[in-house]
Amino acid sequence: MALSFLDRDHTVASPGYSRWLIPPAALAIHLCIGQAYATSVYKTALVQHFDTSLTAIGIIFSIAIVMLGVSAAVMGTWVERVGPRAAMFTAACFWSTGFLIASLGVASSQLWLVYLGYGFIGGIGLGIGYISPVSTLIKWFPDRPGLATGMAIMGFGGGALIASPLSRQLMALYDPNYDPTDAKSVASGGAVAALFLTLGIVYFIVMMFGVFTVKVPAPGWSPAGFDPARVKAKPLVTTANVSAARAIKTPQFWLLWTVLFCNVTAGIGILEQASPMIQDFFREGGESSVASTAATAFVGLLSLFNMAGRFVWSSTSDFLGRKPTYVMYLGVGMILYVLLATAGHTATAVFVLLAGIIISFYGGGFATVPAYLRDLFGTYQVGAIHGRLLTAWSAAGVAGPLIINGFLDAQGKPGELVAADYRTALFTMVGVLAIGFIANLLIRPVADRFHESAEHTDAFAEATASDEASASGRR
Amino acid sequence: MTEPMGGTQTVRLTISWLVVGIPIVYGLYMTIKSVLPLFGG
Repeated sequence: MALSFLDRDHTVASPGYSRWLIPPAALAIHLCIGQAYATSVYKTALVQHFDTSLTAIGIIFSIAIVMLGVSAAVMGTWVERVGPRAAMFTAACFWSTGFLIASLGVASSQLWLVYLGYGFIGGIGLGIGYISPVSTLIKWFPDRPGLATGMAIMGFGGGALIASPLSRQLMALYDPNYDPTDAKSVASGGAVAALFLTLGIVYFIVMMFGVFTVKVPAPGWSPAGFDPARVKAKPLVTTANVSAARAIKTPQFWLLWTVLFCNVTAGIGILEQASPMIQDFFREGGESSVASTAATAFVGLLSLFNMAGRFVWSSTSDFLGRKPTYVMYLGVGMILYVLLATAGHTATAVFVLLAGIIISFYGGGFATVPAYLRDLFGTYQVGAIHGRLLTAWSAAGVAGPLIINGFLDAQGKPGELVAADYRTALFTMVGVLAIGFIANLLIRPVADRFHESAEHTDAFAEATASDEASASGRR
Repeated sequence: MTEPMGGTQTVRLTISWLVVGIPIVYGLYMTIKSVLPLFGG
């Protein structure tokens, strides 16, 4: 059968399969879907091509992020049942098809096709792709779950670092009149259509590499020298398992939802406004001492902090513990926001350093949360629980920009703001972080009544056994 | 069936990390290059 490579027999690793093949498989997915953060590269080109507003083009990204949250929440249990290989394959099909339909939409000047393709269909690929390697990584790295998920989710941050320059270079190739080094130069619609077509094909190939490489460990496998008793000895780490359906009935799930929501809301507030913000902080007499090229560079620098934070802080959480790590993200984050509001305008280096560390905590919050979920709810359906938790991201994606833009709109017009105009918004973010800080402190181990019975430890293995039983029943 | 060990495994690991490592290095290089104006470069 053509799709036999998705069979469970091909998905379970044979003895000797190196677990260090799993992070690149996961990265292959996350580096591709991370392109979602690079949409600003062709935003102006689409505005001109469709002769529409920035808001109308922004809707493409909004639909994709909403679909990410919805599909991750709805499809999580299915992802656990079919395993990472089938889930990654599905994600690759949706993500690439989304690009191909969007390419057709741009080529035929039908904006609704771009909404349907990149936004709706691509967004489903985003959600399934984001959660598909999580529980597999945690199973392969029971000794270092933070390191493993940090590596994969770092890929989501890294995807934009690759897609932004690559898209500019490809558009210059497809449109000789487009100059990627000139900020005022805009690529033609035809170049964007060709770019989408190219990305759709390239991303499918790279994601299929992930599909063919990923495997789940055989039941009972554990890394050499791993002692589960040492894991059990850590506070807040359980060896029991909680299903996704039961997890959302626990206070721990909603406390962690609040923690993620607050951490992301605060971070998005800065990310959303990064470029004008650095210029406004150093504006005197109507003129900013920070040039627009330097402001664009600042956005690139924040992407680096975002990516690095995902890997460094998530890996560090394996030693610090998950709860203390979030105490750092939210507690130190509050101090940094206060410093940014009060002393950020004193020197560019101070501003850049403070904003950079804040964004590294934002990225770290994303990357550490799967390991936190595993500590609290076990490995049984951790990917599905993660999918449900990502609705906090979608909610924060609305709340963060609303808070910062709402306060700034009340202070004055864009291009005329100064550092003092940001203080109310930044102090509000301190309050948001304080709520997350308290929610994190309230997290306790999950009550025994939510635990599954001892036979429920591996959703994928369970589905395999169930399918085999029904197949033999039919024979 | 046991997976091939030793040399084959090393080759597979190397190729796998190159497939994702090369794009990451490209992205980092291009981003660092674009960040230089912030430091007067």
